[in-house]
Amino acid sequence: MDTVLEVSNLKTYFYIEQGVVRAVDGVSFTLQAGKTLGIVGESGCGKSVTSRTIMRLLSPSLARIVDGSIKYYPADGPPVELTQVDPYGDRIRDIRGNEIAMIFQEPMTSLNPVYTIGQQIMEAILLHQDVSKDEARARAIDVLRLVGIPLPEQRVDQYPHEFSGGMRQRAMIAMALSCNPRILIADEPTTALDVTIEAQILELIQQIQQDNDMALIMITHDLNVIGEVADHVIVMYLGQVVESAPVDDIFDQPKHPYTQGLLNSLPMIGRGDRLEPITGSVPGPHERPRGCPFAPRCPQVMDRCRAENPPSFVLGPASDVACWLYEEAAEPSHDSS
Amino acid sequence: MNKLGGSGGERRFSFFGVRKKNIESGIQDEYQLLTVRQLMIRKFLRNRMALLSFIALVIIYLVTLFAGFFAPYTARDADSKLTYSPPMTIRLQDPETGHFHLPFFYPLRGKRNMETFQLEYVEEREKRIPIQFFVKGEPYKALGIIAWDVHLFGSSDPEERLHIMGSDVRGRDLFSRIIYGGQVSLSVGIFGVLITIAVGSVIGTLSGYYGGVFDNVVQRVIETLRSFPQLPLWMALAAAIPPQWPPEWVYAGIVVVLAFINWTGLSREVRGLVLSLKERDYVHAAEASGASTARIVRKHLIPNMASHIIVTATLAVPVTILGESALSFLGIGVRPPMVSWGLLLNDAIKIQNIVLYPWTLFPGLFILVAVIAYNFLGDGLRDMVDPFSR
Amino acid sequence: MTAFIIRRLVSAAITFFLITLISFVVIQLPPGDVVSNWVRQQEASTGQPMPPETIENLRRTYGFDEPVIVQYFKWIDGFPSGDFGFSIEYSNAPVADILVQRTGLTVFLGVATLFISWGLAIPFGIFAATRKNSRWDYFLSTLSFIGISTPDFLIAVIYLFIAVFVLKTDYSGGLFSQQFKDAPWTWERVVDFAKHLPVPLAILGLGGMAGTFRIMRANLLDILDQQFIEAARAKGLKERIVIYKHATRIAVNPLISRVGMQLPLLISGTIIISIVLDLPTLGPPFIRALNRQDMFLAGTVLMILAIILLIGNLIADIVLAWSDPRIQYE
Repeated sequence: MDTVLEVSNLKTYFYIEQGVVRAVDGVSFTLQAGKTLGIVGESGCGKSVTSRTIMRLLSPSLARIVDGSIKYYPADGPPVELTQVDPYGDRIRDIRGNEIAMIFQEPMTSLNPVYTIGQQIMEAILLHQDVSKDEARARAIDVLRLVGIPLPEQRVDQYPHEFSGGMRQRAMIAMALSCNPRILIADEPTTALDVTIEAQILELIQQIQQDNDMALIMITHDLNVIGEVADHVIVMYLGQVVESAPVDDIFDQPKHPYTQGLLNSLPMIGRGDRLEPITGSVPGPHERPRGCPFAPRCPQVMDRCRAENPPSFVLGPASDVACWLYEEAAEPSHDSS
Repeated sequence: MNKLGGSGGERRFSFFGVRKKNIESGIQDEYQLLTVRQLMIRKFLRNRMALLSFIALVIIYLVTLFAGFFAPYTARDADSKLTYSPPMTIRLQDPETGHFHLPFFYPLRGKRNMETFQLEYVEEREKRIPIQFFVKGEPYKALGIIAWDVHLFGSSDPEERLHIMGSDVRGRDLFSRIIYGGQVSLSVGIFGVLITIAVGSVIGTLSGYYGGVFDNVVQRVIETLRSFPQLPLWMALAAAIPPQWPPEWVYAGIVVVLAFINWTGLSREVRGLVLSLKERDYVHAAEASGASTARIVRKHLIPNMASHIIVTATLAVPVTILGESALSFLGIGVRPPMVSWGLLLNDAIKIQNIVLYPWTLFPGLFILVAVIAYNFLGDGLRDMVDPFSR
Repeated sequence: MTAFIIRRLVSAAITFFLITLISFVVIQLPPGDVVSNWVRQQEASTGQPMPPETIENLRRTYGFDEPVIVQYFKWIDGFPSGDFGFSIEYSNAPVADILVQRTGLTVFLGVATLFISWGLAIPFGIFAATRKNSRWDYFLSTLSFIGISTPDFLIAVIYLFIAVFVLKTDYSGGLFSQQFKDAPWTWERVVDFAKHLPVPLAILGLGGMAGTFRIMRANLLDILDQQFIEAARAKGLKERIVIYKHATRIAVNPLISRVGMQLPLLISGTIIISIVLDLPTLGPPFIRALNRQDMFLAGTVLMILAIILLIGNLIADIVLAWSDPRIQYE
């Protein structure tokens, strides 16, 4: 299997007036072609910052990559270390939109209101491919048809405000797909949509993924979406990966108390027991606990948790968990941090 | 201008949380009201420019209020020997020997230049005149009632006059005239805005609350008044004040003219607020329980609009001050013997005067300081009551 | 779009009618009617009483012996033929003659100022917004705050002060040299005009720039925070294209809708600066007419100014509807 992206021990900190916010604090994962990685966590856990760090979209005056690496493996040529490229330079702009594309949470505000859908899709095509305007337009109509927009020949000349929410998200996907990217990052692509439309969009993304052997990073707070699409899942809490495992393991035998808490707070058909919300709330960026970040809310907290942040313990070939409960059961760590 | 306040998002948010609760509960809970007020004051104190402006305005108003004491001369006190005298230098050091002295100045002696026929002034170095504090001088009435003759500072020799900002065409002390002029310029702002608030909020409340034909007529009137450029309309209305009126009446007339256009803006704002407030649940609840309209307005609408009205009013003061200054500058505002900053600046309307007597621009500096201070203050207040303003 | 324009035109027609009404009220406002004012001034200057028949004649011509409402209709009745009443100041000349060229220059100065203030404010706004919280941003923002607090007439006198003492220019007001003042338009006159323009334009442009700069900066900051900007960057576009093509293009729209608020200030500024610098616009005759209670002239100038504003707003609305596809034409 081809690895397309390898992130290890990534740390992105924000330097603001009130101090340092450790938004991403040691995240590692690998992404394989044609596979889907799900990143799950509550809002503020650093999942969106992770995706923006990969795309190098964060303003260097605000956010700094303080440690770690992001290796991107292009179809041909040597791997690119994305932490080292100039965020305004040519290399990253060549990759953005062309090899790694992104769709966003808010379909209502992700499209520029003063340009037509077609103009915005063609902009990406003309930028990355050596085609004429007519060819770009034809390609734009093609991708609009591909994402299931009826009458694409007419819709291509319409403005975003003439599209419904679901249609706009389809148009966003069309824009992201217009250059056949190898990786698609979807940041909560269905959160703002109705449930029925959510199912259609997810199905569409998966369909396209299979057809193009595209790797997908699905960022969401919704475990149902993860269960639907992901192959492998990482669970994030306060900028750290607390558990990383294949999707079936996450649902069948969640290891970390936080993962267990997330699952228990999820309504499921056929499960008789009551919902149990996780007590407390995510602490603010300045109230970060000293030891394990989840310790203040953890039902199985031990004295050690409050003092020391647990490292990642390897439990299986693709299974890690950062929790002191699993220190005994762990194989020798394959991660030095 | 939140950038100067440097107010962070979080603080605004918590503030809004408290305020929202207060509005929506519709109950004037003593404890909570106090908390809101404390929060607002704290927020205001954090905005350094607004605070600084507030202090500056208090000082300026105090000085003009006690003009007789702070001004070395009265506004009409003329000296034909010293016409268009340049500002005199207050010295602490003898320019030749370098010895230090208590504050003193050299009197100016005028000499006619026979080529340009201009009066040119030179310092008479032989005569050193000490500056005296709490000096006895021209009698005046403090606050308009208490007769007194002590001035904060002045020349120790009544024969040698001190003009720290120069003098005008009739040899009147410009600094004193600026202080007296401030009484007019600054009070026009206050009185004009009081009328604006009274008229604007009453009409705005009525048209917002009752709507219908009254609202339509009012909105059309406002729209028409606003379809005129402000200053020319002010000019036209000010020109309609009969020339034979006494100066005090003219002053009142100018205040009314300025307020006549300003109320439209406030009234629109109040109308919008009333329209949104009257749909709140607690107003519906009050209506359903049979509260009278007067009671609803008094208990529910006014308390919730007060802060917006205060902010709008604060920002309307500089507009009014500028209006009066512009009118008086053009010679159709207040009339002599009254003085105002705009009227004083009228001396600088001719380009030759700026060249020959640049100190006639001093009143402009005072207009500028007052207006900037009010704008900073209004901006700070707006930040304080409206957490989402930009 | 056509329906939208027609609706705006109808609304403008109603406003036009109301403008004439208020202007007429202004004409009637000073105590005593226009003719008796004129007669008083004539008698004062010639020292001889005017024959009662002449006075009676004048009164009849302008309908002063009739009810106010009839006078009003007589006044507007003259508009189509260019009759706006008569002027005392300009020895009984028809008002229209005095005003045609001056109206043209007023509009010219206003429009030129608008474009100059935009041409400066937009780049500075982009500069400050893309360097938010930098030293330059603070500097420009503070400067603009002082700018919006400074009245135009003060800018004018301060500028004159600078021009005389710092730049040592010999600009002494006006838009034409003496020999071109009443000359017909020739190439030499255009050159002379162009030489006189920079000072008034700089003063007016500076006055209008501060407010526009602040709006532009705030708009752009709002827009740079939006999702579609990040989406544009994620496409791989150059930062320059993201800023100019995607952000600035939208940030300019509120400026167009703000023309409605900017125009009155601009016209007020043009009037007062024209009075200070003695520019041949509507300003000087307006103030002279007001001082002499020459009310037909004053009222007509006021009305023209309001109409310039009305047309300006109309154009701005149409440009905005064309520029922003989100505007609904209902």
